Amino acid sequence: MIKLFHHMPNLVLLIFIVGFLSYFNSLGQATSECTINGFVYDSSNGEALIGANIYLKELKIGSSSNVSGFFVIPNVKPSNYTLLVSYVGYKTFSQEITLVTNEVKRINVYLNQEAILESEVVVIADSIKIIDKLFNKPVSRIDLSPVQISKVPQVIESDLLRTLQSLPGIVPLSDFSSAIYVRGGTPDQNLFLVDGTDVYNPEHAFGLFSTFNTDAIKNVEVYKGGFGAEYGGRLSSVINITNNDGNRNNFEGKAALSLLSLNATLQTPIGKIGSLSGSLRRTYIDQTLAKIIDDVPDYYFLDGNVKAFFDIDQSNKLSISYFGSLDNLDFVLDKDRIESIGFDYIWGNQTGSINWRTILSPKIFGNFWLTGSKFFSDFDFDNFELREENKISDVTLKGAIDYFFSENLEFKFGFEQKNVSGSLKQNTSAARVDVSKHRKLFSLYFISYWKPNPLWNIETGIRAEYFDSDKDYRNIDPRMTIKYKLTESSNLKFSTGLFTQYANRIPRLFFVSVWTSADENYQGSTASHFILGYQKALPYKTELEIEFYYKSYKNIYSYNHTFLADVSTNNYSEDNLPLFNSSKGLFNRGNGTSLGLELLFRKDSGAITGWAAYSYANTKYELEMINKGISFPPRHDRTHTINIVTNIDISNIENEFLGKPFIKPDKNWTLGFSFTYYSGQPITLPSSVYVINSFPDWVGNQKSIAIYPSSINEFRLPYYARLDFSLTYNIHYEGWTLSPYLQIFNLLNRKNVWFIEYENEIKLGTVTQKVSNVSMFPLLPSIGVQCKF
Amino acid sequence: MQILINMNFLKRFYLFLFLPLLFVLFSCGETVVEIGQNTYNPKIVIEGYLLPGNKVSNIRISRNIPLNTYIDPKDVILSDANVKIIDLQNNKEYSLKYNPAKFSFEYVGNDLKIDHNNSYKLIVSAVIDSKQLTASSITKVPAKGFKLLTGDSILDSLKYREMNSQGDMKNFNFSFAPSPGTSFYGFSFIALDADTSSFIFNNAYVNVTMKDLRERFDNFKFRARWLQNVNSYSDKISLKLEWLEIWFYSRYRAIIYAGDENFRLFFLTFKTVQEFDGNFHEPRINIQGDGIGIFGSAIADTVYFKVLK
Repeated sequence: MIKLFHHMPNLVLLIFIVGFLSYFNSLGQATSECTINGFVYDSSNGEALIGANIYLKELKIGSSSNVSGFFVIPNVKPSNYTLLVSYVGYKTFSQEITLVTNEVKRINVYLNQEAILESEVVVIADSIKIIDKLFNKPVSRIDLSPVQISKVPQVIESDLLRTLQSLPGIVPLSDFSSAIYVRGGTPDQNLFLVDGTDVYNPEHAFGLFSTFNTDAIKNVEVYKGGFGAEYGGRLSSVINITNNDGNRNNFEGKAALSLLSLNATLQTPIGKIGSLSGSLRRTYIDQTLAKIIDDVPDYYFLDGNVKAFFDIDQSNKLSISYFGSLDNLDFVLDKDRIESIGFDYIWGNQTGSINWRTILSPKIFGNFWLTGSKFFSDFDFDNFELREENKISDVTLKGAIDYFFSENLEFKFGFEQKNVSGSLKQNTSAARVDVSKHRKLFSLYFISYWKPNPLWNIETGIRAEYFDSDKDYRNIDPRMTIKYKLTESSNLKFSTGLFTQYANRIPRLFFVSVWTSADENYQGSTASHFILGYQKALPYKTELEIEFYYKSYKNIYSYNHTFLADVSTNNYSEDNLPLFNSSKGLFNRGNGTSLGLELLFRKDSGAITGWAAYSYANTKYELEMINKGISFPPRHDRTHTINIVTNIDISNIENEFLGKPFIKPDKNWTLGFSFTYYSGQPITLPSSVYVINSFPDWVGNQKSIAIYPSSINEFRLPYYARLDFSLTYNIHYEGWTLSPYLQIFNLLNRKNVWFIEYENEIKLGTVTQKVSNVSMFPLLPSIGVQCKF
Repeated sequence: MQILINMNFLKRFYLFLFLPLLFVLFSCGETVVEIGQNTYNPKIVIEGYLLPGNKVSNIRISRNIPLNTYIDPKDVILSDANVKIIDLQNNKEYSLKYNPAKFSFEYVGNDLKIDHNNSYKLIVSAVIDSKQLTASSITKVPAKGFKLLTGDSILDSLKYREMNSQGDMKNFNFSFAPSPGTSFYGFSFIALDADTSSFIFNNAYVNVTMKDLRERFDNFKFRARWLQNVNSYSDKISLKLEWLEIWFYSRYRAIIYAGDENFRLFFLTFKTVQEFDGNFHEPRINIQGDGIGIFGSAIADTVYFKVLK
């Protein structure tokens, strides 16, 4: 089995070629004459619905809406049909249609949500064939709505990345970080897209919170692996965030106050031509606690976004989106001293995108983006010669064309041209760093979606990239996904592919990360994914997904923690001090493997919603100059993980159990629990201490004691477990909803070990080592209120 | 029928109650990590430097100590170790003897000369916890040329954070001629008159209490700076000493070391083995076998300066 995995790149290529040749046999089969196309919208706000199922009842053929809500059913014979459109949480739409010869029928569908607010008693009908939804969904993709994100109890307020940490296959390193490790990969192997634009460091407060405002989000797609050829540039995952287009029917608002921040989101129609949406969030500790308590640093963060959507005509849609975030820390160690040790640190993201979606012909849909992204950080130490400017930006032009060739064959062509500039400038009294680089990435991809019959679905793709750096690199990455409807209620899926990444991130203590890229010292990283999945629709609107995966990594780069000893330069400043302008010495190169099994049991509707997940994982890295080149588990390797997220609508729980119709009272309570269990995290422990001086003449220095570590990550910390709780009281009144809430993170105050702290003392000539466990977050209660209108 | 529905309801309800109890069971309490002998691996600790023109002395050979134990530093010295040095120019071997007065090994003869650009190998064997261990390391002495340029330096004495007539801060400044091929320079500063009465409590940067001072006294007394990757073929290199390094009104001794590769790797990595997520990594130590520490070489130059009230 393991030998087979070693030959996986060849295997992937072989499967790709076979699949590719197979569907070409079907090219001549398209004979139908009519085409049905259109958009699927939410009737309440006019937002496009992504992934809705569109069916012709009589022919049992159909399609699903794309990211713009657009669908096409091509080559339909002229006749009378029943068109069915369904979407999770919405009433199924049904319409009788008549097609005449060569007709192109445009049908825009407006779906109504299942729960009707005006009515006191509503019936939640299972109108969705869950198994069809699962079948259409790509392998290893999990979709989350903002409601689902906001329902998971978190540290102080809801957070996208922390919610992702409760999904199987996604783990954090500690409570103090919102960074995500997907199926053994590192955070720099995740591609974050906001409205099609790359976001480089999506972190506030040194990683404690993510930069994504939950209230601004319309939909989140998380690809944990095996993603299609339309995505590239990262080895492990894609987190594709689509922000609200804006309500096209009514003015809508939402405001929230938590212990951390104030948050407001507004949406409004722009006449009949489109809509506008905007959000703003800001922390207020700097204006409150910091003015009273000296030890609270003068710190704030803010983020916001604006998105405008325009229906230019029936065939053309345009959206313009901007996102910005800013963190500002003005730290003074001793506020009573004018020249106290202190620093100013400011960093942030800015992204912008213009997206034009057009129906080029009844069977061809085009999607084009012009995007820009910038991350910057400036650090200035007040009493010490230490300054840093860090910047990365890109301007990207990309496009994708969907060609709905026949009812069983669809093609997608795409291109991407990315111009990336990065610079890092550091000035200290001992050295200077001045790195400024410009890179270009050209990508082309082609995907075919072939349905040989209603039971099979084969997606074959290829992505070719050319990376223009100090040294040029090229890669061709084949991808393939096969789906099979095993029974009326179960699916089998398989996906494989090669993935290439040219960007590397340098994580740093306290300072925000710096991005570098493949160059003359470090080539690109590659990974092969191999995923086998099983899906089953279960009673009570529940679903089960089981996935097995194997990943192998080649040329991955880990930040070299002893890089100070390895950096080198031949460039000097005028005072003969070093001028560093190369990445040499920054990383340890290596290979790795990840193997895992994930089970996800999910329920998205009813009085009890949420998911229960178990995952087994085994990741091994083998890095040069670390652990004498012997493989070791990285710190994020968690063998067993259990996540249970439950939300309970207390008003309807009895109705759910007794099978009675649901009620929608004016006032109701909702309860949330989130349980997390991780088996022990690998850790390198100190094996011993030894007495040694920094300099030959430091004999007698009582602090001259050093720690020597054990083999790398040889030990495991005790298991991690946490139970979080939330309680929300919803008051509905004349279109307004007021929701005060209480959240408790780590309800039972379990002391989960983060790391071990050491202190050496010499008393009466005797050395004592004090060893103490440093725990993660204790019980953290927080309150807040949300208001919607 | 109603009874059946109620039974069904109760079954689900009990399951519903059971799960939170299970969560509670796992989610409370405290676990600790025990560290002791299970992580311990005995090593020979070498701390020795060769200085050109000087006799081989002060080679300290000791053992590492398990964590969370109480051991007198004097007990860790391996006075019975077999220590020898080989002059790699002629492969001649010299045995070192233990000097109990200095708790270190030295070569007592006069026939071993440490010279610039020459390489020497240290071999140590010792028994620790009934295990026979051996360690060795090679150092190459830096080339001749390193010298403190007192004429170009600002030394002697300065008042604490003294200003010049333009209102700019004056700083001690160390200028030196580098050793060709040696790009690492370590600066050792020791406050010779350091005590609680000479400490600058009224410093410009941070409030230090008497308790803090007593606990971290040596951190204030012994200060270190370094330069690395400098242009070693230039005429002059300078280091400005920031006032942040000065914590006593005192005479200071500064020794500047032009260190070899072993010195550089050890100095830059031996203390910073804990990462920001609390995990540890290996230091870069150029010792083969069962040893840790430093066997290096350096050219040293000494200067004194004074910080006045």
